[in-house]
Amino acid sequence: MGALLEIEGLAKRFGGIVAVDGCSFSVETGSITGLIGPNGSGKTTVLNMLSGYLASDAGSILFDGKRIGRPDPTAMYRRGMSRTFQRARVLPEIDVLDNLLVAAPKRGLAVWGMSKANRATVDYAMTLLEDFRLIRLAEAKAGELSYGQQKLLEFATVLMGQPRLVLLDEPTAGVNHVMVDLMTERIRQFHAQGLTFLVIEHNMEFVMSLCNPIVVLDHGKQLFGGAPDEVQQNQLVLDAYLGD
Amino acid sequence: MKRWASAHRGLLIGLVVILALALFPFSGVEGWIVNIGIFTLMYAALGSAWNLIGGYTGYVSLGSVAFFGLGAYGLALTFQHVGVGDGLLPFALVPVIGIAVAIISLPLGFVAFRTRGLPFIIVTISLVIILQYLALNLTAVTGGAPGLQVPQAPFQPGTYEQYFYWAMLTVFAVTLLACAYVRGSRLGLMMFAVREDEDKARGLGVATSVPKFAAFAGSAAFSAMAGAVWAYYLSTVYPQFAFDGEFLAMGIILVAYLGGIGTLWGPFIGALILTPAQQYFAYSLGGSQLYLIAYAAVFVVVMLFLPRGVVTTFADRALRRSRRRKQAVEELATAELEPPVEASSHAVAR
Ligand SMILES: Nc1ncnc2c1ncn2[C@@H]1O[C@H](COP(=O)(O)OP(=O)(O)OP(=O)(O)O)[C@@H](O)[C@H]1O
Ligand SMILES: [Mg+2]
Repeated sequence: MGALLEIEGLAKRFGGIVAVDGCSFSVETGSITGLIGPNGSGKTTVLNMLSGYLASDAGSILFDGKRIGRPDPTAMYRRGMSRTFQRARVLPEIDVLDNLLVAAPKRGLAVWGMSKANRATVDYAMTLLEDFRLIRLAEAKAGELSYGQQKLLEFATVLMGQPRLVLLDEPTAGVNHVMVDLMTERIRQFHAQGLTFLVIEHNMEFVMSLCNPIVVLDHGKQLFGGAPDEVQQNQLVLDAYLGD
Repeated sequence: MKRWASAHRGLLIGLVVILALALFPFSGVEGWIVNIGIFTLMYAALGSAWNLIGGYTGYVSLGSVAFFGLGAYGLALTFQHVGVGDGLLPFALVPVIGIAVAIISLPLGFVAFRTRGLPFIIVTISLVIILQYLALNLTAVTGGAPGLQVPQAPFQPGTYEQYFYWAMLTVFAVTLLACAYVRGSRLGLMMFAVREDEDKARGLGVATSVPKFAAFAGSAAFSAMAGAVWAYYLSTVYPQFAFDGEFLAMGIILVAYLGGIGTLWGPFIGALILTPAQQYFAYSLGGSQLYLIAYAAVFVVVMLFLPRGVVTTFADRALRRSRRRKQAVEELATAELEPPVEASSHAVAR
């Protein structure tokens, strides 16, 4: 299978800081690609440009073979690329089920209907809540959930749009190990159903067991890309981590 | 299933309340009390209309008064140039004016929505100031400072207020119904998402301009309808009153805050408490500007003691009580996921 996502020469600077400096890599269809790198190496910035939250200074993005001129968050989600945030973002004052229903794709006249969602959508949302062990909290406000549960909820939410590529920004950061296991299980489950992932992580155990290939970013450039064992043995990668 | 039942219970409660309000003038109360009723319903309608934009989408607007004034002038100008009969007939104009003002609001929203947060508040209050200025200075159209006269309705002295009371009640009921629809629908969900985190919502495929413009235009329409009824009732419109950026603007937001922003019944409850109090202050402290100070003091007290409003505070309490029963279940669910030892991260390479 070919590449679902290809980025070429992506660049972004903030004033004097070069956050992303001609970054190129691709995500193969059906892979769980890891994106690692020291703090401040530009991982989140790359994600922000891919998902349309930030305009890039240079470079090109190809999603599903089509060039994305100026990505826009709404359009990217509808094209089948959805993301989570490094610091979990949920809609705190509305309930957990509604958080999922918001993300169900609906446009045109369907927006003006009398109900929040049709039966099938609600059922699908309930299935996801079941999968993420949040079902008993369906009527709680999202803001009342623990941080780990919010991370799970955010992940569940982006699955409502039936995406083809999910970008996860540090899904395990600040989450206890029971939830990390749950997160891992769910990624594997949806991966088995054909979903492609790009996962940013610092948790090496998690990355090495889950991702292949792994792209290493340093100072906004891809340093290396390969299988987990190659990454672990690569001198450049070791230097980047130890030298920082 | 449970949601369906609760939606219908809500509809029933709404129907009973509106019916009770409709029967109120028959209880033998005097005209001046019905007059207070009209103002209470006007604030309830304006507060509910404000809630659509300020409470549901979180875009705190001070522009309600602008649309209220446009509705009032709209009615007066139609009287002057078209001739719409008298008696009950002019009431038929009210929804037409609402729709017209909603259309006018769209380009204004286009400008206002270039901003959010504090700048949005400033843009919307500027709108009121600009319109007041235009009403004062476009003398040929608006009659300038003395404003425009609307022919007085030929109702009997004893029942004169009643017709306006029912008209204002209708405006309030329609506004409430629209709010109830929004709250249970996809559109409302989108509005709430915009309020909670607009950028996040965009990343979930929500076309955020749909709920924003719907709330803005809907709010404008209902405010204008209240303004039109009000102008016919007073049979005059002039700039300081129609585009009152202080007293009226403050009152609208105050009823919403007092009752509970973002709740269905909040603005009504707020108006029910505040409007009679306001009329009382105006009576007892009327001659001076003191009543404005008393009014501002109410605002401060509300913000201090009920920062989330009456409805929100009591709803939270009721919820907590019913939660306690569910708590056992929830604790179980949480315990499953969160064992006592919380390892905050497993970072190996940091
Ligand atoms: N909005 C912004 N304004 C200014 N500088 C920024 C902004 N966002 C990121 N940066 C800078 O760009 C660089 C890359 O940041 P980025 O968040 O992409 O790194 P990261 O690889 O995600 O790091 P971490 O692992 O800590 O999350 C950093 O030096 C950061 O300070
Ligand atoms: Mg980051």
